[in-house]
Amino acid sequence: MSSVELSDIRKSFGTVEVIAGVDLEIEEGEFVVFVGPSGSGKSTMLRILAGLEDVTSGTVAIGGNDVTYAAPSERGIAMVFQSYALYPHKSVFENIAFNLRLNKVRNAQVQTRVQEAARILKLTELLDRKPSQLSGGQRQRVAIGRAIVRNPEVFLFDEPLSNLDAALRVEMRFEIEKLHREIGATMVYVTHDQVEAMTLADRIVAFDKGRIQQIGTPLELYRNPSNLFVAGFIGSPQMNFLPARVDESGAARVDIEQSRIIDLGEREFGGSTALTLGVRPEALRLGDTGTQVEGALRIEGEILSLEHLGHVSYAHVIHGDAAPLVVQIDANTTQARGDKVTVSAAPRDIHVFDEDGFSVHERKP
Amino acid sequence: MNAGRRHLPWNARFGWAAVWLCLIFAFVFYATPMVWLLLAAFRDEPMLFSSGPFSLGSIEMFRTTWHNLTTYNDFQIGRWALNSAIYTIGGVCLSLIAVLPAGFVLATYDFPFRKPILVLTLVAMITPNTVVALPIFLQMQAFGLNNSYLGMIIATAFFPFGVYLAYIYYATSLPGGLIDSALIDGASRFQVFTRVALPLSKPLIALVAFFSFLANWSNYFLAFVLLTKDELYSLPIGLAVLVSSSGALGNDVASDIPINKPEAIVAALLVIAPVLLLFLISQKYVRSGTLSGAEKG
Ligand SMILES: Nc1ncnc2c1ncn2[C@@H]1O[C@H](COP(=O)(O)OP(=O)(O)O)[C@@H](O)[C@H]1O
Ligand SMILES: [Mg+2]
Repeated sequence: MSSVELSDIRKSFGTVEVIAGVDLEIEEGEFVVFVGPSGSGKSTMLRILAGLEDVTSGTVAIGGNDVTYAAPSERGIAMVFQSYALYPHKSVFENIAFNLRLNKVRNAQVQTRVQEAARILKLTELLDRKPSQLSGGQRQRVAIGRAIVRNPEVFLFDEPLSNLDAALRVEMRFEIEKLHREIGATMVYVTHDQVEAMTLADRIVAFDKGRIQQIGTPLELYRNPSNLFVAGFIGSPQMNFLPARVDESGAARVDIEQSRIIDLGEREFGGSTALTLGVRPEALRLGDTGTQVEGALRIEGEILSLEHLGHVSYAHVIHGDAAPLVVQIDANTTQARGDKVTVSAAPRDIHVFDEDGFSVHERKP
Repeated sequence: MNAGRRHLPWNARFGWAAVWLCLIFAFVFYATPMVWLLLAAFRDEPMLFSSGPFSLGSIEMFRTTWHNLTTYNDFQIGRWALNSAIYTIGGVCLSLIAVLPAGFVLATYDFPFRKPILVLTLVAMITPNTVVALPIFLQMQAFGLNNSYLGMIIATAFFPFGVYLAYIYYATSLPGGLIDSALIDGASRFQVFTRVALPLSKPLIALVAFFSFLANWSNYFLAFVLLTKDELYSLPIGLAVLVSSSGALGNDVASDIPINKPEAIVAALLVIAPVLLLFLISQKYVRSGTLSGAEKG
């Protein structure tokens, strides 16, 4: 039995279709992350799951029950908001206890359950404070505590960490991951941050324009993006893209000034002639070493700039009028700005997308 | 600080001078009548005419005036003050009860005819209340509520501006996330209002109460239309009737009732005082940071 089942969900605000047909099954205990750029419909999808937004059509089932028209409180869900949404007039204790109070739970039990949630989230010392007396990280903990105390079947998180500073974000990320391990509930987590998505998810659901673009484990999405959107969105720095044309011989010719034919092997281009090639920065090399294979990609260029991150460096290589290629190189590089270089990649590291932006074939890892 | 001021460029100095000029002008223009009124309350009739406009009278003179005013006609003015308090407090309470939920619902829920209702509220708000006094009178007469406390309270509780204030407050100051959060926590729509929105409405309540008080306390026309029995008069209408019937503000020879110009002046202060007092009390709540900590800030 899957914990959450979304079938052909559509949602329009006025005439604008924001969710354009979403089908998704989430297993019990799974950690699923919705990732996508701002405005892609992630929050709307989550709010539909929570019951805060009606669907225009489609059905929502949680724990096997159709809850499409159920009130939020009847769905067995808890939600943590980006803005924390704490009740400013209530103490931390009463913020966490509000749901129990509304359900008229006996006071003794309220005490034990709130204390237990506070213990898990290290909030015990702060229970008497008001939200305005807490730091951002502490407020987000309270928001999570408010969710935990209800023992929900499904936790929903809407960008819970994006108001926190970088260091705190990493710390809270681990805490949420730990929480998932400890209580084992199903979690649906929305973020526009692909690092959060990659590190937290059992499965990532990539959203764009109100549609699911790809569903898979983080590494599946990274290694085999099924379209240009996912290829460009997952991975930092971004995948490099190069326009190409299909030659009469069936090989792809990179459409740059040194136009040369590279052999992309047995791929079915499905009638497309204009292709896009994608190569990740770490798959590109400076020089010909290691890519002396027949049909490898080879481009002459000049180093425009170097980014040194310490453990690794990135060279931005210009070639003709095209956008610079980002090449990952050794941190101890002796390369300098203005060096003339050859950039190369092995055929197996080249992703190929057809005219419509779909991956031409599923490469084996 | 002083050293910095000395080195201000000429145009900044000119700016400061302009600001001060405006402030001084505004102060003189608006504060002078108030100061005069305050000082005049401490002078008796001959002194009002003989001495300079800002000359000081004495506590004794004030006491005599106060005595004349309050004891006149068996403490009738006390009765009017009490009536005024009943109408105003009743009106404020009733309007709060109506206005807060109305504004909340208009701001936070989507329901049929929401927009037209908002527009109607606005129209009602900008309609001068002298225009609605007559319909209200007819309405009250139909219900047999003319010349009654209840009728007067119901009539004063009509406060579309308050609905609009509440609507603006809930639409802009109450974070939407709080409502979502409460719904997920299992609150009914009514509980969202009573347990989340209402406790966060102190600034709004202070504002609505203040404006409602102001509108009702000094509402002359409505009382003039609805009330004909002098034992039901509110303070503004009672005093107006008293002052005009005594001829205190005319230049004729004073009548035999002890209501003259000093008494009229003290009566005016009597009407203003509660408004000033309430303003001082309510502004503290209006400025309070009730909502801090809900969201990011
Ligand atoms: N209540 C609403 N009314 C009208 N449009 C909305 C509403 N909520 C969201 N939208 C629109 O729906 C689209 C998706 O929004 P959202 O789900 O918040 O995206 P995301 O969370 O991925 O950034 C956006 O274009 C947004 O403007
Ligand atoms: Mg969002």
